Amino acid sequence: MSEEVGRYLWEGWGAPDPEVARLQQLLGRYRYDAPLRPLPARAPSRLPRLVLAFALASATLLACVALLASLRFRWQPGAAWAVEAVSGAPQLDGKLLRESGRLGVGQELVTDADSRARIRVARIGVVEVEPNSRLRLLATTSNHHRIALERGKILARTWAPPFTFAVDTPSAQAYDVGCAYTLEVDEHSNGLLLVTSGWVELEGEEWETMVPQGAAAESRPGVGPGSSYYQDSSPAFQSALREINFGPGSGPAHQAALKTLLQQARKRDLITLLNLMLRLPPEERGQVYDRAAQLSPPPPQVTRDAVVRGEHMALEPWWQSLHLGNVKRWWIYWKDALVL
Amino acid sequence: MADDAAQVRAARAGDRAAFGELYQRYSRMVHGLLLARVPPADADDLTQEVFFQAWRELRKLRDDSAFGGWLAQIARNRARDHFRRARPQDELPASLAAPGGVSQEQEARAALAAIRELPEAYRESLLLRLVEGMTGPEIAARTGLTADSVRVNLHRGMKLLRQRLEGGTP
Repeated sequence: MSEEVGRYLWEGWGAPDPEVARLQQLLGRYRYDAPLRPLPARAPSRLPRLVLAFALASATLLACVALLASLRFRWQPGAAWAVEAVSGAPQLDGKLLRESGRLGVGQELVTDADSRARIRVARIGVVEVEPNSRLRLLATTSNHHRIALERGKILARTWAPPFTFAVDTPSAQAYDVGCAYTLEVDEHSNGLLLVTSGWVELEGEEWETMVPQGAAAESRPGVGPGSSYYQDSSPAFQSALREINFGPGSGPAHQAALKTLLQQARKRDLITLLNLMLRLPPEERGQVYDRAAQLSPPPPQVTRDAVVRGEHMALEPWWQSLHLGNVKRWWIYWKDALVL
Repeated sequence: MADDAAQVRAARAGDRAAFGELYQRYSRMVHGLLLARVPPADADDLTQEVFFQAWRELRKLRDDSAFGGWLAQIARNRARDHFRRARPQDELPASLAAPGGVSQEQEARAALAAIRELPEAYRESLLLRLVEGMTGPEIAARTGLTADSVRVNLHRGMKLLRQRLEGGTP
């Protein structure tokens, strides 16, 4: 199927696939177009007074917290970030950085084999820049700060609401979900992310993966991020995962890799299996589900049918049962704020 | 979806116009999911019943932004109940040919029957695309499936369907 024809099936525009167009014309007679009939009567629900009082108190408390947070996270759009040289002679916008300076939007920071630098990310965090790195500040406002890491390695530690801080790399974007992590881009533009606290979301054009504390994820140009995994998983497991994530997606090598991955998976590797499940076609989702269920039975509300169907929220209770920390409760990683 | 959440809140408070907007947004999805399981003649009435049930039970929905997925589950359950109760006489066989050749209607019925023999995931996505005219991104947004799943369902489902319509044995 050509890309144009595939696009027609997916988005409904581009060169029409004659078979798809014929079926649409043929099956259009079944399309639903009826108005909603009069709705039956329904008594509106009434909240008890106690619930209303509790809601009011909660809202007041939330408003106070929001006010305090807005003071901490407020940042003038485009204001430059403080940078200091930790060792050697980093270059800031093409000039030698002696002790400290300011990194403005569009400016570049470069370290050579002997130099390191430290950047203050507005008021929300710190980025340590390791040797042989090149990065650029792309944007900075109160609720969004973004840099591009072209090559090298950074150690980032932030404490802010999810998706406030982002790092673009040639193969994926890393979105901070209240966390600490290292991110590395090699000479082939491949990425490697290791999360030491909280969660990070790695996003590509087609795929995204959530990486919890203690786990890693790789990314490749043209493909995006692979599924996350623990670094103490077996080499055979990691190699199979690489084939599944970055290989052609079908054929004997893919099948062999899936078999190895499922054989080698331990209970601790459930994060990889859950991460992988919805990336695979339905007929393979079932195999991964069965192995995952064997390693750790899912909560009763997780059904095989919903997973095989690919429902977005189908795996959510299973993720929760792993007790890896709640992505939405970013403030629980408050210890990260102490070192800022 | 943030937009749904506002309509759901209003509908829960009794706003029928807001529920009408949700109906406009989701009726084709519900119909498509039902069509994957019940005869076309019953799918229209069941679509209305699914929305009546959603209207009555809206207060049970915990996450307002998950309205689409919740509604889809009501539709699937409703179809299952209907199937249990229905007498097995509702549909004419797809291969029944009229004298003088195959009419468009028979061809449509045969195509529908072929889709309904596909695995569930493919069946739903293909019906939403081919019958209800929804795009892949719309299907993902409405049903709560990931875009990746819908993409796979459409492409693999279409491949299987072609083989079956051509008389292959995948």
